[in-house]
Amino acid sequence: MKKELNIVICGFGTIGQRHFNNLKRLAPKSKIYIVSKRKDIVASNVVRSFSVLQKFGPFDAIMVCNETYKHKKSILQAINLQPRAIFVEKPIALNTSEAMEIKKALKGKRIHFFVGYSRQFWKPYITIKNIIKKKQLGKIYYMRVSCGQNLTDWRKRDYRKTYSAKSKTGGGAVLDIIHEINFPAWALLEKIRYKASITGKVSALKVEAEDIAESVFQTNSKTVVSIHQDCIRVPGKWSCDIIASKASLHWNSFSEKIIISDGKKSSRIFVSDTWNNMFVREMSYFLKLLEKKNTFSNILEAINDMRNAELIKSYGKNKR
Amino acid sequence: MEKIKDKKFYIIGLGSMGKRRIRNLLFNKIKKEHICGFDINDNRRKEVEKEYRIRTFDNFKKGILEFCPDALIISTPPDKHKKYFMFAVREKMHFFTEVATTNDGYKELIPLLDEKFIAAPSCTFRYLSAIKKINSILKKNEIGNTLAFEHYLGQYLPDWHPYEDYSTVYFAKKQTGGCKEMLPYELNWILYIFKSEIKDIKGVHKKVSNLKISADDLYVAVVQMERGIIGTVVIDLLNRTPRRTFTIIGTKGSLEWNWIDRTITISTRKKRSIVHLAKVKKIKHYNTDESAYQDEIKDFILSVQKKKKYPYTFKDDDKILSALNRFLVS
Repeated sequence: MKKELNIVICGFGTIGQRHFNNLKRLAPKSKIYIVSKRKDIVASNVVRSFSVLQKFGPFDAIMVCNETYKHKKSILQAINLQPRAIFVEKPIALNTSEAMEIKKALKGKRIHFFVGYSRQFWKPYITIKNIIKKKQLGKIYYMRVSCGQNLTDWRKRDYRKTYSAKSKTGGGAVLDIIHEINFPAWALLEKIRYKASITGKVSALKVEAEDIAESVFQTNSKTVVSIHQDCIRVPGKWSCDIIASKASLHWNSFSEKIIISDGKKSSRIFVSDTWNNMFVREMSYFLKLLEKKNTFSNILEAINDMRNAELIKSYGKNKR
Repeated sequence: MEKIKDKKFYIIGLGSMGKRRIRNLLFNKIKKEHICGFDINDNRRKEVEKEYRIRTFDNFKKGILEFCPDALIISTPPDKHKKYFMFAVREKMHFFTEVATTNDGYKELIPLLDEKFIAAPSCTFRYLSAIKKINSILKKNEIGNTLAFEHYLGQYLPDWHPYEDYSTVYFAKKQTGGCKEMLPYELNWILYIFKSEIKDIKGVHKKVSNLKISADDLYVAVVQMERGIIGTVVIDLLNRTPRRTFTIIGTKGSLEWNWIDRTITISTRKKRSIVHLAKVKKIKHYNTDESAYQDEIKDFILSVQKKKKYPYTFKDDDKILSALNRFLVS
């Protein structure tokens, strides 16, 4: 992007740094302000709080990349600065009530609002969605998505000191891996309705939140969806299975192949993607929103996901 | 002690499982003169008489009176077991039943069981080489403590018995549907692997396809074991490509069994190794290793001879079928 943009990144952990580096590449002329209390940041334009940002505006985009429990406050502060767009890392907030407050605050404002579901920009998931869209598999009866990664492998820092360790800061498999709740609805182009769940803490991880969740949903067109989320799996693995009237589909992150099989023949699609390319695509998409006149928002999608996450957690609690 | 060759086995129901049990008895050196069958269906009886050269009856009681069996092998559709096991228990006769889809009659049955005769519900997969191998991997602690699991079983119903109209077979009917039969079947060996019982089970059971059946064709169950292990069991009658995959997530790594590929993959942070299971003895179009059925019947025979204790009881089976009932009302 040739245009000089004025951008704020709030929060400079792993994901904030990744977006910063990708923005430098995609919009090199941009001025990027970082809001962070960290003292180890080697970059110019670092401020310690939102309050000092006013004088550097107006902003094209404010990106909320801090811990989940800080999202609501940061988004509301960002809205006050009236940028053209707000990007927030998923999940949108800690709960539906916070998400609704954000929705209310955005009402009437001409601000693009984008919750960053990075997996929507991941090649395997994009390919699966396209296969569904082209009706290659026929009527979809069942879809299973599974995502598991051990927290100790996932977090660069001591996981016990991250927000992932506590439910009240946004930790737990359900919220931390909310993109897997989002994926089926996004790929099927249908809302998913909660049916059942079991969650629990089964590992010895030092976390005050669930480390596994199994849940079942259904769409209006009767597709049954099951979702597995865990932060215990060694080694980490993602997979997707679809059973449909014409054929079945299987993909997993180990093989990097999508296999479509109708019982007589099977075809394989090799889908490889780097983790960062997914974020580059996401950021390119977000930057393109800035050029659009009509206001974009995926807040309703994010609120639906949050509602489903809450249902999984509240009805699935381990009674032990 | 009576010699096993002198024992007489009466097979009730001469469908695919009844025929299999005849083969299993013959494999285990039971003389064909000591095996007879009962079925009301003429064609099945004729087929069995021709193929296995055993005597058959079209009347259950006539078979009892004329053949004087020592043991019943109840291979009827899963909702028709009660009449025959209640007969056996009243007569104190040894009996074996195929997988049930209901525990109807168990309340009357269980108090009547005693050590004078063997009451053996099927638990075939405990004899499968893959299950034995998974148990040995877990015993060696190769993936650490077990925390969670994912299980999937799917096969297109019209392919189950390609030789007959699927819509007329018991597995097409609501009360004895394929998913209803396979959920307890799968839970049986899963619980055996985890050495635990079910604490909680719920989910979705539906008919989602256009198959000409009244039975549900999709079961999606989320399960929690008494030991705390959490997992999911999914069974469908829809997948054009038969598949049974079972994953265990442990503290040190994960294990993935692929039934069709005959592999068990063990993945840890440092390495991934694949165990290739030996080729199986397949009969006709069936995917399951025939030797598991042979070994199961061998154990029934040995338990009748009082040489070995049969490994699975009706009390165990009642717990699994109660879990099935809980799932169906969830």
